[in-house]
Amino acid sequence: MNKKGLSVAVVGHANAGKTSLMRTLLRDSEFGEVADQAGTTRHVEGGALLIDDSNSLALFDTPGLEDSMRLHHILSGYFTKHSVDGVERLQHFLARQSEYPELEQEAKVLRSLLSNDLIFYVVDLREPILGKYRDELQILSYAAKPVIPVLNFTEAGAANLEQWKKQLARLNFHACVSFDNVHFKFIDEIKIYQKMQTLLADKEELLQAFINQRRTQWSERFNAASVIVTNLFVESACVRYKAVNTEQQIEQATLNLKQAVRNAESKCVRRLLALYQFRKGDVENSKLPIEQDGWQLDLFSADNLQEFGIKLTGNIAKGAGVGVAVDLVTAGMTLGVAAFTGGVAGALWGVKQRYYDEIEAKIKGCRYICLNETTLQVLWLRQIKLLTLLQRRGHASVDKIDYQVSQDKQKNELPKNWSKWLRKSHSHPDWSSLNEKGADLDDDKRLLFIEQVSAEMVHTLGDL
Amino acid sequence: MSLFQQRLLAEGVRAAEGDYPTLPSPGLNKAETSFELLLLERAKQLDPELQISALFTHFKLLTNNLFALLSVLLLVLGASSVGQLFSEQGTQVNFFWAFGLFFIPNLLALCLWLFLFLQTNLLSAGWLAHFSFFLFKTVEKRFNPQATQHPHFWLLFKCYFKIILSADVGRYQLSYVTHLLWLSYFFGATIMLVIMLATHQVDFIWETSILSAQSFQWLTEVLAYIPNLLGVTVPNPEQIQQSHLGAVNVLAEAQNSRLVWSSLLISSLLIYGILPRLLLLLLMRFLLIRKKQQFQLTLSRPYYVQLRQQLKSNVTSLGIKDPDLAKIEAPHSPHLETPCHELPSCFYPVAVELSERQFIECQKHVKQFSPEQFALLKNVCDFKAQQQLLNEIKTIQQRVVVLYVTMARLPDRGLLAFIKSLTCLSSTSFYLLLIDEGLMESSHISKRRSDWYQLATQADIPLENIIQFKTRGADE
Repeated sequence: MNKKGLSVAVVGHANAGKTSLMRTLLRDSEFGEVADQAGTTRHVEGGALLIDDSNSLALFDTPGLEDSMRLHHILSGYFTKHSVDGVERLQHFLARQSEYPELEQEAKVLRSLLSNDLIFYVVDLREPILGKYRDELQILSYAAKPVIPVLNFTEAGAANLEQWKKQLARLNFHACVSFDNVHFKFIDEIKIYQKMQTLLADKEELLQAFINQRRTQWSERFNAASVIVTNLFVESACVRYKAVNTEQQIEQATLNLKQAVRNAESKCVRRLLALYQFRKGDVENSKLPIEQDGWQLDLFSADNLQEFGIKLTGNIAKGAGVGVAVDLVTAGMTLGVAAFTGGVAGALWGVKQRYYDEIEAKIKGCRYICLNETTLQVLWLRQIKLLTLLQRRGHASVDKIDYQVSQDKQKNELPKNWSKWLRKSHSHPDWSSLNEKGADLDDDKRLLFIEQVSAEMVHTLGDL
Repeated sequence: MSLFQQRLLAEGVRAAEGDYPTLPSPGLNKAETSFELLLLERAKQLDPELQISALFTHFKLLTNNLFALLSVLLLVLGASSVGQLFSEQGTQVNFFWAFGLFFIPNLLALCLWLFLFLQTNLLSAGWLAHFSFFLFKTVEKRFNPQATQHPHFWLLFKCYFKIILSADVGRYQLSYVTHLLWLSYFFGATIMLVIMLATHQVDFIWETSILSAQSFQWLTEVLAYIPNLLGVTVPNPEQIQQSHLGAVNVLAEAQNSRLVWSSLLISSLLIYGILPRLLLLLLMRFLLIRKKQQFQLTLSRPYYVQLRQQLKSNVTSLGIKDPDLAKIEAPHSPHLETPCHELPSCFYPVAVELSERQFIECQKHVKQFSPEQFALLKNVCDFKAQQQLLNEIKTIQQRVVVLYVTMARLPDRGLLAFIKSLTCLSSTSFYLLLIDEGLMESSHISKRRSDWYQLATQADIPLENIIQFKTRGADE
């Protein structure tokens, strides 16, 4: 790897969450091996986050420091009669490492401490402050490298937080950050990089570029995810299946509709998982409860009338415009009849475009089946919950994502423009590709609507 | 292939793939290349398979042909409109009527175009764009049915014309076509006018019912100002006055009058009709080329965000740097059932790495089961305490030592080494008492218990000497 930049050794006690931290920062659920036992990571393995084409931030996962008390005892036993610095102690030990085969894993950690620019010391906050942890910190101080203590399991170990902070400060480690691998917060990740900036003044600009890049990627991903969710809402809210008004036909259309919507939801979930770099198996399977309804287009709703009014005026103007051109070509011989006819034709065309399908269905005795509002609400809330969980999920999490909607009504808050969006969607059955006729997914108005809804979603959910 | 064409191709691949990049991208040199270049390279690689370029070339040809056809039609229309003017008017041509017939629609169309042009997206998202799209679609369906057999034909068709006819590119493209068609119309009209005037003898008149003669005098002078500056012979005030209702009597003057009015009409067509449209055409052409060069892919679309993750992942593996050479033997999983949970009546208690809360529970336990040894209880948390205990253990009177440990903690190599060094020092019997505070998830309890059993086995503590102790909190 011929890249410049920065390198960081991720060290800590066994099972403190070093590999989990690596997975979360690298957004890679497959990195290394994570298990609930000591000595899972037995080699030094690296991954790099690219800053630009020539710079990267290399992170090296190390084995756990399992016997730090003995190691510290050995290190402090060297040069008792001389005044030497910590680095010399570490080098002295490494030169004699063959004498301590049982400390092979610790030797790997020491080599990493010496070969990297910075050290992340991962602390399991659930643990009390024990002698072995103090010894670990003492050993880290020998490396004479900037150390950022990363306080993991902040939720489960909240009671020990202050004690740990005090202890770290007593050993001169002030630049600690809280970072929970399970309950991930992007802002905490940024804080790590900001601490790095503080400790590595000569790399400040490089790290700022890196922070900016991470922020851009984070918001790009969130925006893309919100577009995917909004797209599902539009697809589902605009879908309608036509059926002849017999029980059998309606049942068949309902079945088809349910299948189409469920498939669309599964597809949306798969895309969100892929976008957030999680595995398909990370999500708990759950079936969307669907109830159908009859498609009712309220001809006299304000939205419909407004939109129809604008369209109708536009069509009259277009028709009249063509008529005027004809009048002019005939040098006024038609006495404005062409303009009038054009206007009427434009108006009729507008009515046809807007209500032809409904009128035709009425005449032929057909009806349209669509999703009822409750189903759409559940669909929306499920996706919002999934998106929220994905935003907060670390790549070390092993629990399955359950995005079932809570029964608690207070948690199921719908956006304030929900009814407006629903009305708008219902007035555009041509926007759903789930319909038998398909749809122009790049229709400008459809795209604009998706943009508006997703922007409001991003605004409401904010910085998760 | 220009940058615009490459980006167009990338959009074509997007249209063919749908909303998620599913096609493979083999053989891309991902090192030190920007995402967009990788994206364009990928599109180029997928092109032979998807046949997008060939279709886009076909669409371009279709566009050019259709515009050329419309231009010819407008050329003919322009020419025929002149013929109509002459046939209707006989030997006399009403100059201002002829002028108005050409220029008033042109002026209205120009104003309309300007209004639409200045409103961003109104031109490219309006009926003109839709009409153009409809026109292309109809022609394609009618004259090229076999081309539509391409699996992604209509998707690519929509994609191509969506780009060509929408946003800024569409705005300039449609403006360009508008001016091209008007220019054709004026060319047709001018050529036909020259032919008609060369082969017909007509007198130019002007007439009015409500306007004053001075108004026409002034209007003609204004109209003739620029042609006059350019050296074109234009009617003088006397000739203008004489042309009122064809009041030219002298033959020579009539001939001269016909010449000057003809040259004014032709030069007006050239200067007020052809020239502005030509200049606007060139300007729109220039802006269209520039906009095409500036055409950007919307890389924030979910499709591209996902493709970026595939093509230009910002994470690379650095592999294993310091490998583990020692072969690890799979740890022996001892039998999980503990046959005996009996605690001896008198024992030497030792707490190992307990938190304050756990140590309090430990103290309570010792008080209950071995109260006389309570004073000996200590929490061994550091190296110094370990060494002290190792020294003490050699001299203790009790035959049993009970090690209090928390079940929640993962036993590590350091702890194993310490307990091992304890057990090998004396012939005392060691017990391991696992404190369960009830904070662990049930799924983890058996795994952790197994870890402690392993430690006990490795440290020569019999499995029957392992006792699990649930604190009050855990019981609750």
